[in-house]
Amino acid sequence: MVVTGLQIREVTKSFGGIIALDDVSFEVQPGEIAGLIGPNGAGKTTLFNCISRLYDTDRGDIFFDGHDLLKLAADDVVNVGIARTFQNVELFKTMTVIENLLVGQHSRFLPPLRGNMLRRSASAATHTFLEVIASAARLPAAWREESLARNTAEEVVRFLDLEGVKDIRTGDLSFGIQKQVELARALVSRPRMILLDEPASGLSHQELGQLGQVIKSVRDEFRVTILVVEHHMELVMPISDRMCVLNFGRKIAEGTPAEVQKNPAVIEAYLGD
Amino acid sequence: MEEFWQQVVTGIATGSVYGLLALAIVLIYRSTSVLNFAQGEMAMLTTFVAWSILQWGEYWVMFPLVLVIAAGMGAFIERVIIRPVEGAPVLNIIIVTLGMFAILNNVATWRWGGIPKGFPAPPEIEVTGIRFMGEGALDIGPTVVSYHDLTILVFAVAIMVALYVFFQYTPLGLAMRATAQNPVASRLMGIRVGRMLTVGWALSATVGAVAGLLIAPLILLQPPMMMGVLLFAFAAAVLGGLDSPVGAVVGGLIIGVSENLVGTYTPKEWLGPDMKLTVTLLIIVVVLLIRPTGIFGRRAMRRV
Repeated sequence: MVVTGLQIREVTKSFGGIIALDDVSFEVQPGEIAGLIGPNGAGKTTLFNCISRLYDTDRGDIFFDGHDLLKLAADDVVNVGIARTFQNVELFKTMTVIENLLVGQHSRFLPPLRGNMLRRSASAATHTFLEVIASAARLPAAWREESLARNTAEEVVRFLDLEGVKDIRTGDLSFGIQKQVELARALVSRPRMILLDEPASGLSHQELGQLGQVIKSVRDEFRVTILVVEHHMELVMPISDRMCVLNFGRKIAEGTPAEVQKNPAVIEAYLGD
Repeated sequence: MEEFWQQVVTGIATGSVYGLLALAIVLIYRSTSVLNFAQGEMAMLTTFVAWSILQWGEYWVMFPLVLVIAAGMGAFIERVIIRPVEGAPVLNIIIVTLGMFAILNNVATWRWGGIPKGFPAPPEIEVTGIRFMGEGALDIGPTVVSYHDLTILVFAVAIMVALYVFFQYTPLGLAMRATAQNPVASRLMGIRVGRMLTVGWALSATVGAVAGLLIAPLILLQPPMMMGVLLFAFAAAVLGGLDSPVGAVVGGLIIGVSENLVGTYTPKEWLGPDMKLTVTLLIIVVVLLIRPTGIFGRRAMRRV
């Protein structure tokens, strides 16, 4: 039986002599909103980068819906259903909102590469060939796919209330809107889990007030699991089903928001001594 | 006045070739930050291959064949020569492309010899009584335009439109733009970044090959034939802004036209045709003094 959800087991990651993640384990059940919190430099983003395969881990395992993520390359992670946003927004800035959402569906245009290494490298060439053909000789087909993608993009745009800005270049939008666009770009790939990296940072007071509700409605509407990194306790507490607290790369607490809130180690980490 | 228009039209034609080669340079620079000094020699080599094919085949059989060979060569060079130095300092990569310049030049001399060869223009085609391409010239208003100059223009425009449609409206084109802008985010969208770069080199080599096929009838086919063209193409790319395809084309046209006008109108005893290279480059320097990133280049800005 395949275990669903995200399992992180004894993950360790160091940069030079600095240990960014030290033996971290926790799980996220399908459909949950999980909060990953901790002070700056606690290793939260490092863990995200390990999950999305931008970093290799030194030790440990990461599984998602039965897939061994550490065996995948970064460009395959979206194919097992994981999408993410970034703390400082990594949009394609000279492209419009809609174009960003089209790129976000790249993985849907062609069947993902599967099979072992040998078959993969053989299929890579044909894959490229297919991609070129789809764009050149089979232009109508490429356009059909694109109109399909356009519909998905429009749907998500409507859901996140971005209709007014959809044809504007994302570089010209306010930071708060850019963060929304990045969330939209994650959603159009139809993921089963979304990693949100500090969705609150840089937002105005008003945007901040709505954020919790937006995250909850995304979970309910798109039936995704959400793992959110945040150091604002006030944002994650009310929406999280489960929380994990990191400090200096170590897990210091785990549990429901209420349990975590009472945990003396957490209080100490946040208030200092 | 007739001479003026004559020179402008001829300048637009050669300028289109500079623009095409500049476009090839920009396509690679935008996606990989590699300035490919071997771009001209790659085009030279494919033109020699075209010459060999023409020894037994028709022009219009050769044409698509050469484009495919060029694409293969571009992809091969990216995979085998450029990929290993991808993360290296810029200067190293420049040395690699300069090395390719020398190698391709030597290969051509070794295989085809240094004696200049004539290269045919695309043969005449008649569509519903209207003649396209071929030899001769056409009277247009006050000037006479050679059919080959018209051919160059038509090809240049066709390629630009095709590239525009490709990058703007196809998933693969979009993915390539994404890769050029933000490789890390692109990977997380499931885009195979490495493969996009390979396709980019293939595309660039193909565009360069067309430039070679079009310019060869005007200058003779020989190993150093692209030297001057490459210099003007680089100037065009810099003038237009190195990250702008539109800029590359506009830059090419400006250089083509001003090269011709300077050659014609400056008095012999002062700045004759011999000085046209100098004057053209002077124009570029002045433009860059006013707009350091080129006419269409974007200033790099970062949120801090």
